[in-house]
Amino acid sequence: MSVNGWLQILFFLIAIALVTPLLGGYMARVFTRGRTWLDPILRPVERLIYRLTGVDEARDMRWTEYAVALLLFSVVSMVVLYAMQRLQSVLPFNPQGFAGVPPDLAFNTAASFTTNTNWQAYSGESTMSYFTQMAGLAYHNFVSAAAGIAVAIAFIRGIASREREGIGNFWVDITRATLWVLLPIAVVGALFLVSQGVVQNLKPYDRVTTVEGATQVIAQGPAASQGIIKQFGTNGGGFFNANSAHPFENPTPLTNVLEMFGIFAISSGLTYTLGSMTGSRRHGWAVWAAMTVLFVAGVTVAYWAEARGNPMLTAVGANQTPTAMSPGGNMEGKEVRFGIANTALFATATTDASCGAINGWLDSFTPLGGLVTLANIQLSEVVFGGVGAGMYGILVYIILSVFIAGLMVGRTPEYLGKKIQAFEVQMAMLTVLIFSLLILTFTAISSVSPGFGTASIFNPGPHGLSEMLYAYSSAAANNGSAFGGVTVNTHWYNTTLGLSMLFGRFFMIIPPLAIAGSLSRKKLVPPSLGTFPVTTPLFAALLVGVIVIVGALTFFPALSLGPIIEHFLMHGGQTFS
Amino acid sequence: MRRPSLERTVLDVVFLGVTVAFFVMSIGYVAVCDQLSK
Repeated sequence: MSVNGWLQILFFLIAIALVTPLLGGYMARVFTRGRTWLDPILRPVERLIYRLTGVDEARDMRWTEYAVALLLFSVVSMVVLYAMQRLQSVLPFNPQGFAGVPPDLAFNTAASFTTNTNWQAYSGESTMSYFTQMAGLAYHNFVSAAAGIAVAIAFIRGIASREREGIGNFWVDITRATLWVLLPIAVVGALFLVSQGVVQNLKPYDRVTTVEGATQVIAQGPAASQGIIKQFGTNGGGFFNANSAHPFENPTPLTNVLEMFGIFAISSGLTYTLGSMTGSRRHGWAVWAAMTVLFVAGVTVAYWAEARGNPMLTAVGANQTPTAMSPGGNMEGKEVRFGIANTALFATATTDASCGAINGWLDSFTPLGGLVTLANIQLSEVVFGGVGAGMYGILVYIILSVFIAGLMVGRTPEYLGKKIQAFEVQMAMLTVLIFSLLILTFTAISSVSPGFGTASIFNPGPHGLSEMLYAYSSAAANNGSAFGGVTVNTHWYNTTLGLSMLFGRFFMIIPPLAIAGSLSRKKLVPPSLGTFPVTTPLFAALLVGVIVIVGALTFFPALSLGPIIEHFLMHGGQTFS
Repeated sequence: MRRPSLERTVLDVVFLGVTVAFFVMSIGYVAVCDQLSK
C-alpha cells in the first residue's frame, strides 16, 4: 500500500461527499415538482411525451397500480429486446453481419438488461450489432436505471406522506428520472469520454497488420454513449468484453476517475434526497454515513489484500514489493496503468453499488480481495447500491433496524413518525429471504451437478465454488459483474441466471412498494421518549450492524467454503489443479 | 453449429412463455402482498 494509493481513495470519497447534496437536492426538486434550471428545455418535452402516451401526470397511483405499471413496462421492454437480438441479422446498423443471438442467450441478456443487471454471457464486440447495442442495450441502461430511481422515490414519498392513498405516478417518475437526471449526465459525460479518446462511431471494424505481421481486428463502435450511462446508471454492461479495462472504453486516468465516480454519484445523492423529501436531512446523512463505513471497510481490506500479494509467488522468488516501475502486490489480472489502488477501489465500488463494470479481473484477486467483492454483493447491494435499488434496499434494512431497536426498548417501533407494524416487517423479511434463497439454492444445485453445473467451472476446489457463488450472487443482486472462471453461456446457466435476475429484481421491488403504500396511508405520530432517533451515530452503527449480521448469518457458511478456506490454504501452500 | 430452425422456434416460444409467465406471476405476487396488507 502507498500514500499515493490512499490519497486517491480519499479524493474519491471527498468527491462523492461533495456531489451528494448537489445531486441529491436537485433530485428532490425534480421529484417534488420544484423548479430546476432544465425546466425550460425539458418541460415541453415531458408534456409532449404525456400527450403522445395518454398519461395523466396529475394522477396519483396506489402502490399496486404503481407496481403493475412497472411490471407491464418491464415485460414489454424485455420482449422487445429479446426480439431485437433474435432478429438483429435483418435489422440495420450491423456492419459486421452478426447473426441473430441464440434463444437462451437472448433470454439471459434481455432479463439482464431489463433488470439493470447487465450480466453478459457474451462478448459485445463479437455478438451484438450496433443497432442492438444502441436501441436495445443502451435504451435499457436508461430505463432500468430510471425505474430503480422511480421505485426509490415512491418509497421515500410513502415515508413522507400522511394519510395518502397513492405513492406517486410511475410514468411521471420514470420520465422525470430519464429526462432530468440520466440524460443530461449522459450527454455531457459521453462528450467528455470522447474528448479523452473513448471511441464513438458506426464504422465496420478495422483490420490492421501488427508489427509482427499478424492480422488484428480492431473492434470499435458507439462505446462512449453506452459507457457513460453504464457507470452513472449502475448498469455495468460493457460495450467491449473487457469492459472498463479496455483502452477504447476507459483510456485515461481521468476517465477511470469519472467512471468510478459515476458508480456512486446518483446513489449517494439519493441519501440526501431521502433527507430532503422526509424533512430530516440529518437522517439522510446518517444513512450516508452507514453506507460510507461499509464502503471504507471494504476498500481497506481489498486494497490491503491485493497490495500484500500472493505468498506462494513470493515463495518461488517473485518480487511483489513496490518499486519505481511497479506497483507491487498481486498484479495478476490488473491493468498496469491502473495499479493496485485504482483496481481495488473500482472493484469495491462496482460491487458495493450494483454496477458490475470492471477495470480488472476479479477471478485473479487474492482470496480476501475476492471475498470483499463477493460479500459486498451479498450485503444486498445497499452500500450506495444500484441507482434507486440501493436506496429502497437500505430502507428495508432501516425498517428492520428500527424494529429491532423497538424490541429492545419494548415499544412499537417508529420511523420518521410512522409506526412500523407487522406488515412492514413481514415485507422487509420477504425481501431479505428471497435474495438469499435464490443465491444459495441455485449455487447448491450447480455445485453438486457435474453434468451442467461444475462442468462449466475452470477451477476445482474452493475457488470453483466461489466462481459459482459469485455468478448467482451477481445475478440475484442485479450486479452483473463476473468473477470469471465459469462458462456461463450454456442452457443451465443462461436460464437459471436469467431467472435469478428477474426474481432478484422484481420480487425485491414489490415488497418495498407494499411497505411504501402501507406507510403512506398511516398517520404521523409525534416523537416520544420511546422513539428511536434515526439521525444519530448510534442509529448509523445499528444499521451497519443489522446489515452485516443479516449478511453474515446468511452467507458465512458458503463464504467459509469458498474464499475464506482458500485464503488459509493459500498460506498453507496448497494449490488446486 | 447453428441449431435447426424448428428447435430455435420452439426455444423462442419457451423463453417468451417463461418471460410472460414470470410477469403474470409477479402481478399475482402484488395481489398477494396487497391482501396481506388488509
